[in-house]
Amino acid sequence: MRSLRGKSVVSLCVTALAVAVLAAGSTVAQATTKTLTVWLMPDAASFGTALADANKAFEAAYPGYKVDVQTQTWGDHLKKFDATLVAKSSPDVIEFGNTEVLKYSASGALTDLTSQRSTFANNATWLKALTDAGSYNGKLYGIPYYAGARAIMYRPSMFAAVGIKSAPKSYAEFLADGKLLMAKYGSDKDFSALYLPGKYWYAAMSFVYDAGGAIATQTGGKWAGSLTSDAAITGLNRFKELSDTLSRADKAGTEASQWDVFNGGKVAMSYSNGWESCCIAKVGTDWAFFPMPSSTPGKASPAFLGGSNLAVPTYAKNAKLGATWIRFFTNSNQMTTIANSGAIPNNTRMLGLITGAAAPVAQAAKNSWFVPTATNWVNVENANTLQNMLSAIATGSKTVKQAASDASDEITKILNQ
Amino acid sequence: MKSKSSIYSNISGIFAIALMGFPVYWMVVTSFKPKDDILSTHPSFFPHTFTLDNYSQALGKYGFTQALLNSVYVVIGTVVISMFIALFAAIAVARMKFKGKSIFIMSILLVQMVPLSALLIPLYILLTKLHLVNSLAGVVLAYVAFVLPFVVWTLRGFLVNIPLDLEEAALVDGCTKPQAYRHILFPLMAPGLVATAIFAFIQAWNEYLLAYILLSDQSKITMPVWLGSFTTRQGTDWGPLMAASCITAVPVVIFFLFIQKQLVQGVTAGAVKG
Amino acid sequence: MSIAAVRRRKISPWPYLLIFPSILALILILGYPIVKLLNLSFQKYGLTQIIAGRGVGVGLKNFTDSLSDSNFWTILLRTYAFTFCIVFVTIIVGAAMAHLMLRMHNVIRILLTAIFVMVWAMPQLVGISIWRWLFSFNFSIITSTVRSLGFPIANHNYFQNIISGFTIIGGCVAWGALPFVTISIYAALTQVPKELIEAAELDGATRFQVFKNIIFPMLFPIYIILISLSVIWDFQIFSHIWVFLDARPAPQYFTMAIYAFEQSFGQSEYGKGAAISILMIIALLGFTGYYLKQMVKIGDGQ
Repeated sequence: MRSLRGKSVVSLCVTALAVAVLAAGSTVAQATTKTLTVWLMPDAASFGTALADANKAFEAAYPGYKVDVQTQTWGDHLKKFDATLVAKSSPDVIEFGNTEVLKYSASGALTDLTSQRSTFANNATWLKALTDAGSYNGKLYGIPYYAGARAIMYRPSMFAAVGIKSAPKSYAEFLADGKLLMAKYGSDKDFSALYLPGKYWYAAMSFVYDAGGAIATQTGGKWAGSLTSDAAITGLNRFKELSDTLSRADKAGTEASQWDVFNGGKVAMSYSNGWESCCIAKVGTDWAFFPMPSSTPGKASPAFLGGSNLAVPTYAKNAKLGATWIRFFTNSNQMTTIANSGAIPNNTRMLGLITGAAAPVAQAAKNSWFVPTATNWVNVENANTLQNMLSAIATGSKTVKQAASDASDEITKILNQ
Repeated sequence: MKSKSSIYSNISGIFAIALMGFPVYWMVVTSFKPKDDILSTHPSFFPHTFTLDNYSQALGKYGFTQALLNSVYVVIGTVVISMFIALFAAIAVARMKFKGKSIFIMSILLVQMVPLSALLIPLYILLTKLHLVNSLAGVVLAYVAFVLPFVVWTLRGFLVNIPLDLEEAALVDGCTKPQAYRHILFPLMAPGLVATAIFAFIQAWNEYLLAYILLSDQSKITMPVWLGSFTTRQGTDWGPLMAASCITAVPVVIFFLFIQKQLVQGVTAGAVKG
Repeated sequence: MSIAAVRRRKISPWPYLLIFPSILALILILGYPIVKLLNLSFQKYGLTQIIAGRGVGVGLKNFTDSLSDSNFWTILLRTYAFTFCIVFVTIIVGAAMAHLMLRMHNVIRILLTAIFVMVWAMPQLVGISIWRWLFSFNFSIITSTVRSLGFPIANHNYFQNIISGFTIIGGCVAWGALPFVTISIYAALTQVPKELIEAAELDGATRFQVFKNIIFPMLFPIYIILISLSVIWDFQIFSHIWVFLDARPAPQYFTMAIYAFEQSFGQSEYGKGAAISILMIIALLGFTGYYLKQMVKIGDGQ
C-alpha cells in the first residue's frame, strides 16, 4: 500500500517534469525550419488578400522560408517590442503606427533602409506624411504602408432640409451652415451639428495648422512648443467656437466610437476617418464626405494623416529578407488590393483608386499635416498633453491662452528631455 | 453554522444577484445583439432583434479552437503544478516549526507586492535565456510563480483549521505519517484545495499581459490574447468579443459545477470540527 | 500535544524539504527579475541604453528625482485613499453578504454563488469594458433609464469629476473582488460550530454578543488575510483606471501603478519606472505593516 502511494507521487513528479521538458524541447526542435517573423497589427486582416498574396509570392521566391505573421495588439505591441529589444531577439519586420516610428528610428532600434529606397515600389510618389514619419535626420527607417485621412462625414438629408445646396467652401460658411442645422434640430439636447469631442486632438490641431500655426517648432536643434503663437491661438479659438456652438459631444471625452454616435442619428456632421462609413448602417445611404474647408475660402484645411509604416528592427535575425518581404507586401499589386479594400494606399498615384463617397477622404490625404518630427514626440502623446489642453479649453476650466501656454511648456520640456 | 432562511436575507440576496449579475447579463445580452444595436445611443435591456451572427463570427475567426486548447493546457499546468508544490510548503508552514519560517512567510507576502508590469521585461529576458519564450511551458512556469504565494498561504489556512488531535489519534492508532495525511488530512482539506484551485484556475485563465508578451506564434496564444485581436484601429468589434467571452466563460462554469459537489462535501466534512 | 511538542524540538530536515520546491520556483522565476528591477532603479535605462545593451549608472538620482517631485506625493496619497476606500467597502459588504448567505434560501444562495463564479469567469478586460459602457457619455444605459423615467437629463460625463470617477472605478474593482471575499468569509462562517452559538444563545447572549465574542474572534485570522491581500491587490490597480479612461488617464487619475507604468512604457524611462515601482513597494509595506506583522504571526503559529 505504502509503496504504491510513494510510486504515484513519484510518477506525478516525473510526469510534470516530462511535460515541462517536452514543451521546452519542442521549441528548440522548431528552430531548424527557416522562418521570417513579421509583426502586423490586426488591421491587415481587412485588406483583402494582400497579405496572403504577398506571403505566397515571397515563399515562392525564397523556397525554404516560411513567413510567420504574428498579429499584435495596438495597446501593448510596443511593450512587447521593447522587451524583444532588451533580449535582442526582435522580429524581422514590424508595423508601427506612423507616430510611433520616430522614437525607434532615432534610438537606433531600426535598420537604415535609405540606400534601398529605390527598390521599393512607388517610392517616388509615397505620401509625404508617411515618408516623413519613417525618416529621421534625412535617413529612411520606416517604409510607408497605408494611411488614413479624415474629412467631414455628413447627412445630405439634413443639409437639404435646412436649404444648404453645396458643401461649405470656407470656415465661415462651415460655421454658418452648422448654425443653421443647430437652429433646426438643436432643440433635441443630444443633437450636434458637428460632433466634436473635447479631446479630439487630430481635429483640433487641423485648425491650428490651417491658421498657419504648429504644435512645436525646431530652432538650432532645440524643440519648443509653439501653441502660444498668434496663429495657433487663432486655430484653438476656432476649435473652441465650434465646440461651443455646434457640438453637444462630451467636452472631456475622446473621439472613440464616434461613428456609433453618428449611427444614432443625432449628428449632422463629424470629423471622420474614411472607414467610419462602414459602421453606420442605421443612417442607410444618407451619408457623404466633404473635405474640411480652410479659413481661406476655396481651400481645404490640412487633415491629419494617420497610418502605418513597416520597419526592420536592428536585432532582426534576417534583416535583409525582412526588407525583401516589405518589398513584396508594398508592391503595386498588394497596394491595389489594399486601396480596393477602402484603405488609403501609400502613394499619391493610386489615390484615384478610391472612388465613390469616400473619394474626398483620399483627396484629403494629399493635403495633410503631421506631428513634430521630434525624437520624443510619442512621449508627448503618451503624456496626453494635447488632449488635456483641449479638454480644459472645451470645458472652459482654463482660458485658451492659459491652456495653450501650459501645454506648450510641457511639450518643450518633454521634447528636450 | 447555518440557520433557517429569513425573508430579509432572501430579499437582499435577490438584490445582490441583480446588482452583481447585471454586468454578466449585459455581456450575454450584448452577444446576441446585432452590430448596430451594441453601442446604441438608445440602449435597451433586451435585444430588439436576436442574432447568432456574433457567435458564428467569433467561432469562425482564425485560431479559436487552438487558443482554447492552449488556455486549457496553461490552466491545467498551472493548477496542477502550483497546487502540488504549494501543498508541501503549506504542510510545512501549517504543521511544523522550523527556523526561518517567518522569513519564508514574509518573503511569500513580499513577492505579491511587486507589480507585474515592473517585472515584465526582466521576466522576458530571463525566459529568453531559458529558451522558454514563445512556449506554453514558460507561461505555465511564470504563472506558477505568480499564484504560488497565494496558494501556499490559503492552503496553510485550511490546514491549520484541521485539529491536530485527529492526526495524532491516527498516529497512535498505528497509521504511518503519510497514511495519516492521506486518510485524515486530505479529505478534510478538500474544500481548501478546491477553493485554492479555483483561484489559480481563474488567474491562469484570465491573465493577458504576460501571455501576450511571452507568446508570439499565433498557434501558441491563449484565449485572453486571442480576444485582443478583436480590437483594431477601427475600435473594438464588441459583438463577437462578447460572444467569445461567453464561450470562454463556459469552461469555468463547468469547472465550478464539477467541483461544487466537492465544495459541499467539504463544507459538511468541516463540521466534524465541532 | 506534548508528544508533538517534544518531537518538534529536534531539527528535522522535513520542513526544509517541503518548502524547497516553492522556494526553487520563486527564485527561479522571480529572483532574477527582482534583482534586475533593483539594478535598473539605479540606472538611466531608456531606449538608447537598451539598444546599446547597457544602462548608465546614476546612483540614487531616480529615487531623489521622484521623491522631490510634488506629483509623486499627491499620487501616493491618492493611491492610499483609493485603496483604503475600496478595501473598506469590499470587506464590509463582503462580510454582510456572507452573513446574509447563511440565512438565505438554498436556491437563492446557489444562484448568488453561481453569479459570483460568473463574475470571476468573465475576462477581466471585458468586465471592465462593460462597466465602462454603463457609465459612458453616449451609450449609458443608466442615463437612458433615468430619461425613460421622465427626467430629461443631458448626457453626462461621469469622469469629469474625479470623486464620481473614482467611485465608479472603485465600484468596479469591488464588484470584481466581492466574490472572492464573500465566499471566503462564508466558507469560514460555515466552519463555526453551530453548537457553540446555540449554547451561547441559550445562555441569553444577544446576536451582537454572539458575533463579538464567538464569531469575530474565530474569523479574525481570515479577516486579517483578506484585508492584507485586498490592500496588496487594490494598491496595484491598473487595468481598471486604464480602461475606464480610454488608455489615456488625465493626471488627476494617476495612481502609483499608472505612474510607474507611464514612466516605464510611456516615456521609455525604465530606470525611473523601476525606482517608482520600488518606492511603491515600500509605500505598500508601510501601509500594510500592521497586517503583515499579524499575518506572519498567524503563519508562525499561535
